[in-house]
Amino acid sequence: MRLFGTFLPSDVSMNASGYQKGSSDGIYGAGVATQQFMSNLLRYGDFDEYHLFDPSRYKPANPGEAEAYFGLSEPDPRLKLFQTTDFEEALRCNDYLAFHKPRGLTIAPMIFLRDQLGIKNVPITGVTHTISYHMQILDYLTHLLIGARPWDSIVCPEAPVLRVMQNHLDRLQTRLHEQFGLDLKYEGRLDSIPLGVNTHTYRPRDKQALRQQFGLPLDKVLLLWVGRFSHYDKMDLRPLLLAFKAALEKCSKNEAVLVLAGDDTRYNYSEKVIELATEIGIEKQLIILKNRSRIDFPLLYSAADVFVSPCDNIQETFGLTVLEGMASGLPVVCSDWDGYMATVRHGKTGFRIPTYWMECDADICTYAPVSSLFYNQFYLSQSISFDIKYMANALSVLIENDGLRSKMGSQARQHVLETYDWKVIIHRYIELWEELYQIAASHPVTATQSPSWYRPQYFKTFEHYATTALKPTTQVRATNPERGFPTTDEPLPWYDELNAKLDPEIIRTILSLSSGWMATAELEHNVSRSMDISTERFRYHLLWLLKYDWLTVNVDTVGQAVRELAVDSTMGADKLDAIAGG
Amino acid sequence: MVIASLYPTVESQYETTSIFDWSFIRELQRDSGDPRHDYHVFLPYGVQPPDPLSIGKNVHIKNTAELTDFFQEVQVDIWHDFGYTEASDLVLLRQRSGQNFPITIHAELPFLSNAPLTTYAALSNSDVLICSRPAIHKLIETAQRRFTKSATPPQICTIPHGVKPERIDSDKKQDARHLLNLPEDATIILCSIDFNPNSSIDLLPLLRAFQSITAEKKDVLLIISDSDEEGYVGRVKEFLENSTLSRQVLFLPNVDESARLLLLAAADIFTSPADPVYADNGHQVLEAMAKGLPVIATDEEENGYIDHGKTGFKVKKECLPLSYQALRKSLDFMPRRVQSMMVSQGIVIDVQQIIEHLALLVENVALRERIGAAALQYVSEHHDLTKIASDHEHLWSNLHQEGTLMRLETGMAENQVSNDSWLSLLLPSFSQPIDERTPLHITDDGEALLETQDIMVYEEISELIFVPVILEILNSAQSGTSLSKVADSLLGVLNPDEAKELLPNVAYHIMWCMKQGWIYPQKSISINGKE
Repeated sequence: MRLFGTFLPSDVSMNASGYQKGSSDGIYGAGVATQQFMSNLLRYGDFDEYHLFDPSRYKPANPGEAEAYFGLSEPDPRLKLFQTTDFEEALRCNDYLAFHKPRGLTIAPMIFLRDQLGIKNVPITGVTHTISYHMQILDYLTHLLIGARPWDSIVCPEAPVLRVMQNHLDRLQTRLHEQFGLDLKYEGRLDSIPLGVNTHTYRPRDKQALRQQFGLPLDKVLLLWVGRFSHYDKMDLRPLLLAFKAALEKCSKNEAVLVLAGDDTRYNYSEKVIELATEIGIEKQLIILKNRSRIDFPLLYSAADVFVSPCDNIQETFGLTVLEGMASGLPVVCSDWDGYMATVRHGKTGFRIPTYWMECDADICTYAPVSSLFYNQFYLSQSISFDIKYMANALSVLIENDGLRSKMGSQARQHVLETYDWKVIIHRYIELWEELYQIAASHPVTATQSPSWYRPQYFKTFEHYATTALKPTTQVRATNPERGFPTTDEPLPWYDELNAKLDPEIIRTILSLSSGWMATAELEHNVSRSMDISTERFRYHLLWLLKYDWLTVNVDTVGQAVRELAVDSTMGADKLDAIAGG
Repeated sequence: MVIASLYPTVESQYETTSIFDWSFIRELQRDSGDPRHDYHVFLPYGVQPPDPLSIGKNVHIKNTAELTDFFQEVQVDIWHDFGYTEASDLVLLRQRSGQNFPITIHAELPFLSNAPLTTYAALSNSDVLICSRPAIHKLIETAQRRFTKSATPPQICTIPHGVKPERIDSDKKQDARHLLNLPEDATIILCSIDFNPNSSIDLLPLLRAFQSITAEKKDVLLIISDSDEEGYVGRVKEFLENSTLSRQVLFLPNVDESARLLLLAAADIFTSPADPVYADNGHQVLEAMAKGLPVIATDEEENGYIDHGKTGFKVKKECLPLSYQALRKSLDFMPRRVQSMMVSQGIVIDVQQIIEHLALLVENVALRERIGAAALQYVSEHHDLTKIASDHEHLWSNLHQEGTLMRLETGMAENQVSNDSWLSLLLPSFSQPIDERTPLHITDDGEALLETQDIMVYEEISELIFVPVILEILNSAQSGTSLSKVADSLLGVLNPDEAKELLPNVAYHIMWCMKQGWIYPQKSISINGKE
């Protein structure tokens, strides 16, 4: 049986509705990419089952719950939802081709768990999104310290991003060696597979009808930008306005409009953009469509003629919108920056505009650990520019040349169909997992020998918070031997989540065996005669029964510290006052 | 011509009714339209203006704070209102402006529920009330005759709703379904209307009808979409959880404009069995017909949009004025929203009729296509937005050419009329399905309810509905009953005078049971003789 496994992200619902008014709030590429990856894996993957381990799950899944993660209305028997604590059993019984984390490169926790258990060498892969935040340095460090294996991989969407990732790891390794003499090495792999795009959602449609629907001008060349309105972590749109104005001046007549569409719920940045447009006299050629619902975006691309994306920020890695534009049959004019370098073929599917930068970031780097990451990215981006003259030329050429637009547009769509369609991308992932699986199979399984530094020790660390730790000799007994524990038909007196930890059968057994004072060790021995139970599990149940007064501790058997805290309700008020007064 | 409008202040941004018809204003800017129009729209503080350039170059968006300056600088030729501002307020605005422009107002049915009758009394005879359908025209005419004594009452004219006709081909339908993540092969029934039993629709009867369709057809999906400002969906979902329908009913509340258009393109059948007393689903019905969809909807008995059996199917709104008497005493002390709910719960849409029409359309693809094509043709001929916009232009131009008339600004209220005057005019216009002796029988749903005795009553009418009475009605309907029989058995212990007084109350309960689809009258109901 061919099996795929993943740990679901605990922080996002992957099924947010895209129909609702104003539902574009905070669209982040990483969330979109995750949902699309999983939906398309289901569509194009050849697995018999997809096992989803859900960190926020404490009971078995209801029918339809797994499907709801991906917005599926039909039941899909291949989807199976598990609690994370099922992982050990699942790994023992199944042979997974790979575990993949579609949101984020932080695969170290999964690698830690796999290697602690030491059951199988299953490959674990993750995928990078933003890799510019300073705090992520700790994630990279964790990867070095936990020790990825040659069958683990961090997948980067394009070669320029892979190089950034390599730079991050190289720098860490070198510095740790120089500073502490440590010889840490990332032994996993870095691979490059781009993000995909749904070429059915993003495709050419009846332009005129859509423009009518949106109230966009019918007779002008429509340049479209789509993204989050943010000069902090997306792009500065003002240089684009300058280039657009210059392009309009080059054209024989003012026959183009620039449409800027996206989420502007955070910074009200579009107001600033309008200010500049008014200042330079192109406000009539500018249309802002902000906070539209997500369903509008595929249609807006279809209504446009040219897609523009002057990215200048290290937060951006790949640029999903560029793919969406190309899939919609639009030529793209973009900065020659990050992943765009690989996605847009200069002169064939659009124009890449040269960008300029030089080293001037000493202050920013020094203060990075204590600075806002938004300001860091913003300050950096203000030192990165694209050539406005080049941009103006490219825009004016495309505005004036209908034939070129349509030729580049259809080449762009063709390029996307061949390279970035999800079908192609999912196939590339499966090839990668198969290769990693072979590598994993050729190595013996080894479990981590000593307890990992990464594993917390809650009891040992916090033990002294409690007045006393119960000992094997501590005696307990049922508080009220007449009181039977409720049967399963009745509502259980505990929190829903506890169903994952407590077994009513164990509780009943403990209670039935503790009618008189008995040392916990003896009680455990008696319980284990009627059922197979680990010490840990016995203790957890015992402690829970104490918590709710089903069991009582014999304070004479727990030591002085507890007795000192006794409050005798039979003491008179005078005596109590005397104690309170010291 | 200079035309101005006030953007109405409404509680919710999710109002379904096109309270402010930007597409109409855009249409006025069309190439063939009168290029001399300058349209000024005044937005109250805090209202988001529409996207720039998307409404036409001669439209000026201003804030209401600018009104005083505006009136000093600009001579207004027409003040047009889409029907959500009280006429008396508009007259006040005119008085303050120092100008003498005619006012044209869309007199919409939902608006009436919030407006006392006297609001129109302030208008003068150079003002025009524009009704979208003959029934509203007639209603307002009657009200004017009966309740106002103005020497110069406003003119009343009928200009129907305008919509953009568009043929949806199978490619476009599939694309819409893909974008909305809807199944490609299912038969999709769309009900696009406010989730609000006070002013728009009580969904439970529709869901019951749908449930009996799905017993045999599993590849049918009912999508219920539009605004849900009061969280009504939650109540309906409770109902769904106890039924087998949950996978076949999809709620898409508060969708944006593009999604709304995509839903119309994705659907196979449109239904709008709106039942509240003030509901006017005309615009939604026409929009669906304009996309070539066969519709099943409540519609005017005569002069409606639907030609029964040809361009869609009509379902009747039915009520018993007798049952309404049960409410009269308490209505005056209720907020209008609750009033409307209480009255509407005694108005019946025949669930059996919806089932028959739905089953027919779900089963018969050729019939769907034939009716849809006829609907599209009807809309293109009579309701094309371009034509409707030019009808308005024609009206304005006539009013403008009549020149400055000596107008008498009449006072405000002239007659004290009670809150429910509109109701007393509206209710008798609905058909009356039963009389005291009409035999009533129990349905399968009614039988099932007798078993479970699980009756869901909206909070607003919980004081009016007594569960023992409902159970008595259902029990006696098992062997055939009637209004008078129930009254006899329930009220036999009382003296005849008291019994007579309580009869309307029993009638209300009976209408409510019919609304829920638990009992049905033996006499079959036909519309215009066509069944």
